Amino acid sequence: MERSPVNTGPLIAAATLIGIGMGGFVDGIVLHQLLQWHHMLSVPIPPTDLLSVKVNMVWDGLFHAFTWIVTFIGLLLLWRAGQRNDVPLSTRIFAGSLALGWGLFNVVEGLIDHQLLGIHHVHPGAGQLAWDVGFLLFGAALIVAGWAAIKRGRSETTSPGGLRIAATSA
Amino acid sequence: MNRIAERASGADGPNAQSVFQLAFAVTARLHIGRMRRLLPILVASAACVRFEAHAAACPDCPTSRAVSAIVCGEGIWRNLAMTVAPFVALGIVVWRLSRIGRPPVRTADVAATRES
Repeated sequence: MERSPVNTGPLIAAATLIGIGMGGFVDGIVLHQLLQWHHMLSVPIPPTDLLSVKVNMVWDGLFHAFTWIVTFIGLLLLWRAGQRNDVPLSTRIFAGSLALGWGLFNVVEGLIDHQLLGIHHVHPGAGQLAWDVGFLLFGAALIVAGWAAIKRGRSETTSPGGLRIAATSA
Repeated sequence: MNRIAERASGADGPNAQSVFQLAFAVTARLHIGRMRRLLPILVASAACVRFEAHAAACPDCPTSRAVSAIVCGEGIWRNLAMTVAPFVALGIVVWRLSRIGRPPVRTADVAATRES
């Protein structure tokens, strides 16, 4: 038996990135494509005719491409984390980090794109501020729930001294 | 699939409904056991989607050239920056998060490592 320090950082980072990707895909697939409430550049290029819709589709595609890259990096980091002995594969930390990532996506994307840059809104028209705020609140709730799960998971996998017993085959 | 589309062409040209009906009729005659009801619907739907995609594809037409000109024209860097901005911010946040989970470096551990 060997005592080794527990490092939850790689698992949190990997799962958070995957959560960001999942949040991005929910936004892109559900709000941009299925419901078509908004597109990436709905405000500067209002999608009122075929040409402007197709231009917005290009920027939606770029958004999806970046989301795919984030998800892919998350998967790579998760694979690397799984190969390390000092990273605990805690389901609670993993699920909490996924929720944290999704929430972070909503809050950061909502603040930057909806409020700061104003390039699109969740549901333009009457009551668009309420939809934007609802989007942010949903994200904040996911962050709180995710962070609580991570904290609980860390307390379960980490001993008071920051050490855990790691079984070795030697 | 293209043969189905050709056979579905009527006097007014092919349309998605005629493609769906023809594909359904052809597939429904097959003896495919338990999938007898589901498969014709799936195949006909796929044929319909494929037909519509083929009919609507426009890789090099005046509209697609206009789209390329607008996307690649002035404002491309500003639009790109606006699209990337949230991901940059999220990357910084995740980098900070990854450091939170690191175990604290203790003086005793460092000293033990150096001695060994």
